[in-house]
Amino acid sequence: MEEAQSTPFWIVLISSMAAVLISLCRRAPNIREAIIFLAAIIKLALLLMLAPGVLDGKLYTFTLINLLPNVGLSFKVDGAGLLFAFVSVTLWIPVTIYSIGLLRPKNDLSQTRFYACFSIAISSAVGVAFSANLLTMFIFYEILSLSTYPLVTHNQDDEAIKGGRKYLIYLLTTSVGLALPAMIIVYQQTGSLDFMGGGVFKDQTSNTLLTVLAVMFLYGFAKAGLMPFHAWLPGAMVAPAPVSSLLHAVAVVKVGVFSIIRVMTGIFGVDRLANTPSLTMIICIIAGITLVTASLIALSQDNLKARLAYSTIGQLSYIILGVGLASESGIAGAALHIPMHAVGKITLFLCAGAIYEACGAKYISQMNGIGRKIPLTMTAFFLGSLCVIGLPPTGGFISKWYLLNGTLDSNQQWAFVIFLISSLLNAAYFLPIAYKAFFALPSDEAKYNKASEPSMLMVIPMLLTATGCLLVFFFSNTMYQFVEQFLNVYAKSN
Amino acid sequence: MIKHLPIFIVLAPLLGAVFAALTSWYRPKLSFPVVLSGLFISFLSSFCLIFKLLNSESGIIHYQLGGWGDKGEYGIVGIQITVDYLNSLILTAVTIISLLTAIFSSQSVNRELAGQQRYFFALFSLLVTGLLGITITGDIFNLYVFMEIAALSSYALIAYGKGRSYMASFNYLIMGTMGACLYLLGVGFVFVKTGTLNIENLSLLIPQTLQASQAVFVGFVLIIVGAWAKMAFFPMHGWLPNAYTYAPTASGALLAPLATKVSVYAMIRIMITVYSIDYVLKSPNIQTAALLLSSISILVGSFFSLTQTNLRKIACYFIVSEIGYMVGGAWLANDPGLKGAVYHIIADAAMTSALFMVIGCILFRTGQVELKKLDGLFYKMPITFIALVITMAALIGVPPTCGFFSKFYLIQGAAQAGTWHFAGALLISSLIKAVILFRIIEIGYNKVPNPAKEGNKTIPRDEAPLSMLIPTLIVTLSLIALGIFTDTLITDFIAKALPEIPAP
Repeated sequence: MEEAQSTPFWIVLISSMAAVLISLCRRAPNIREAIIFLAAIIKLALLLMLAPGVLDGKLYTFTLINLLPNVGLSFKVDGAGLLFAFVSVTLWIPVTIYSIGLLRPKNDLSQTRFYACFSIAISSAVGVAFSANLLTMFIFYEILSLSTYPLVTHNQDDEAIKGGRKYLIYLLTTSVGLALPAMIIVYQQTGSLDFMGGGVFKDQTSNTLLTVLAVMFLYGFAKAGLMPFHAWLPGAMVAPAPVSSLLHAVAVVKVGVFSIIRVMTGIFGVDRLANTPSLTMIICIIAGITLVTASLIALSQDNLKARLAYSTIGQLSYIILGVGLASESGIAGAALHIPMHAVGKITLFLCAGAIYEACGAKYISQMNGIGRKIPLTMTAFFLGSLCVIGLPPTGGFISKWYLLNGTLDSNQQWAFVIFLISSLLNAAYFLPIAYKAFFALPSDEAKYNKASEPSMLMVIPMLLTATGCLLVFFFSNTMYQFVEQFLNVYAKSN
Repeated sequence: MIKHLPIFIVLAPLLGAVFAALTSWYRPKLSFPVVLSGLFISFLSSFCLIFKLLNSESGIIHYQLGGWGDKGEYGIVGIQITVDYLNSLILTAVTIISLLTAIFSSQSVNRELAGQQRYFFALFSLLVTGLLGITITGDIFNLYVFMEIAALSSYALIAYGKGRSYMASFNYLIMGTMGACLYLLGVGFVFVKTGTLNIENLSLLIPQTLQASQAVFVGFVLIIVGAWAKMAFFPMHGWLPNAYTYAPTASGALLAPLATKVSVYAMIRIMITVYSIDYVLKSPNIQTAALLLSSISILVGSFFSLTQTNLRKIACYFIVSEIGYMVGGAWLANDPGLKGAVYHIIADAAMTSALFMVIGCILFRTGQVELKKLDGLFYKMPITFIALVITMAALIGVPPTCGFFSKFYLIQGAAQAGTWHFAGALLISSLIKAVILFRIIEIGYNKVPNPAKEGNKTIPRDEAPLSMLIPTLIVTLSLIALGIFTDTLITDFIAKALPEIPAP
């Protein structure tokens, strides 16, 4: 049942309003950062207010203004959207603490811009989560690309500019060149862009057209990092650690996969997907190839941030493969993998930043033995890697469980095998890092003699998110209830 | 009084021009306020007219000049002025933009044309008269007359610049005169066959009884090609980049957004009212050619803009590509295509106006707009730079700016007609504009020429004077406002302006 309420709109808007206030408080850093926490807490409170209703099966809708005939700037809150919004906003808090610890001592003059753009990015991520139609989603998707550009080029040196150029070219080219025409074709064919259970296409729409559109959407939302449009993600690693951790492990990339989940369930419809083998086949093949290739590339990277970036690319394809399975548990696994992977990967990225701050080490080969110097950081790193690999008692185990169930439900045994291979590869490229950090002898003893844990403002957020990896395991049932509501709306429409 | 509103729109700037020329003998400084008040009256009348139109039942307002043919016999002597949903929007856009441009120009004219400004504003007002006349007239011969008024004054306005502007203006004169001749010749053919010049009479005659007439068809082709030359449509676009680049800032800011757009309106008026969509659809050869030329025009404009180093030249090549958008949209001759074309006339007038105003601001403060020398512009003129980025975003078609929605409709039209080369050209041109935006951002924002990173010194802010900055900001913000109110514009005006188009 639907209920009109303007809360979703305010939730989206709050952090943008915060951005305005932040840019006004350029000279008062304490007030500036207090505003961020305040905005995050208000946002969380409002999200929590919506939660009971959503669990009861309500859909909160709100239309701000009509942009095109029949298509407005509209919001609709369902379980999956709420879960995703909740994850992005919750993780915003530790990352802000971490940013304060990282940027303040450096006397960085662009901090105000950093925080302001960050807030806008959070707004647009939540906007994507709450979008009721493709146009609204596209608008927030583009705002997210543009608002994160100043964050990627934060250092404003040649390397940052190069990374930023790659970032925008990949994201804009694909969204304007593929997703936009696909959206227009959908509008022209059906006269509607609303996400609806069962999809918008009529039965007589040809499968060929659907397949072409599906491919256009898959590559059009390049934030999802499907190969061959993935190169922006390693390139964007020039950004400061908080940006990589929240945006390139959580908000930006997850917006990409979330958009794909939305389009596949709300525009194409799960039934239509399940009944069109050619369609699901092509999704699964594209995602499967990316999954394995990215894991193999990650194995060969010595730069820690690059390895994390390729691992992210692989993990995103888990989610897309889950959607491509077009079974209930596959989609549940996909929707659950968003928060599970988010909390694991954010821990890893925060740790990577902390390791660099503490020891100046960028490359994995330099990290032998540093565990003894910075035990807290490396423990957090270990927990984060468990979560991404998918071992209990961390959250990654739960989402992979559902994904594997999904492969069996839809009789795609080969996908089962791919998931297992990839999980092994994950273990192969993550566990040695933690192992060597604690047990291997440092190659250059003198170099790290003076290394010690970074400032508490950086350590505490890492420990928080590392604890989060465990918590999501124990509270996975609550999360599943949200996903179940989403499935009730979109996957069980018949 | 209310009855005479339509004529005020044209008369006010015309009288403004005359009085400005006269007063400039007595006291040159008076000419600016005289012109400004003329433009303001014109703006008010066009604004009131929109409300009058919305309240009227027929959706069309006629006005007979001097009361000739008031009783329904237009004959060939009576001159008629017509306002309907199609041109009321464009009239308002023209009056608003020319008013803002006039305010914007006063400072730059005083600086750039010191000692020569005597007749500048009289010509400025005369040009606006011509443009408004083209838009409001209900008579194809008067359309030609106003076209020439606009053209002659714009040749002079361009030649006001220094150096290469004489040659550029001369090139424009040749091309413009050729276009006008073709148009007039076409009008001649039509007149011979029908015996009337009134658009409404023609719209009753041509689609019904003269479908097969060769002479009328030749007239059609001549009129369209003439209009194309006037709007710098490929391959007749050569005059435009130089003319608008070397003209004085004020002339460029007025001509670039309005002159070409009004010609597009004239073409659409001829196509859908005089000849009807059916007629257009029954001449598939011209349609195919027009669509191909539009795609080429878009691509040529975009690629040439990529090779330029001067921001103003880049903007001029943008106009060439945007003309392709509108002509292509109109010649798709289906519902979304025409909607997109008409919407884009308004949107592009605002976008081009914003772009040339921003360039004018930069020019005023730094004296040049070479792309390479704009480093650190963001730190020097932050507001202007943000306006530039918003304008470029609109040109690229980033939602929720107006550029996105026109592109949305145009691509939808192309998809419906199956004209994929046009859709492709639109997307490629978007991407090329995006590349140029990156360049601007990388140079203006990321190249920090100052010690701001090391020390605490910052570059002193040096924005253009308020009389330039405020019009620039109004137009820039209107890009977003237009985008947000797309639905109102489309359903309340543009959808009503277009004739019923047979579904495919």
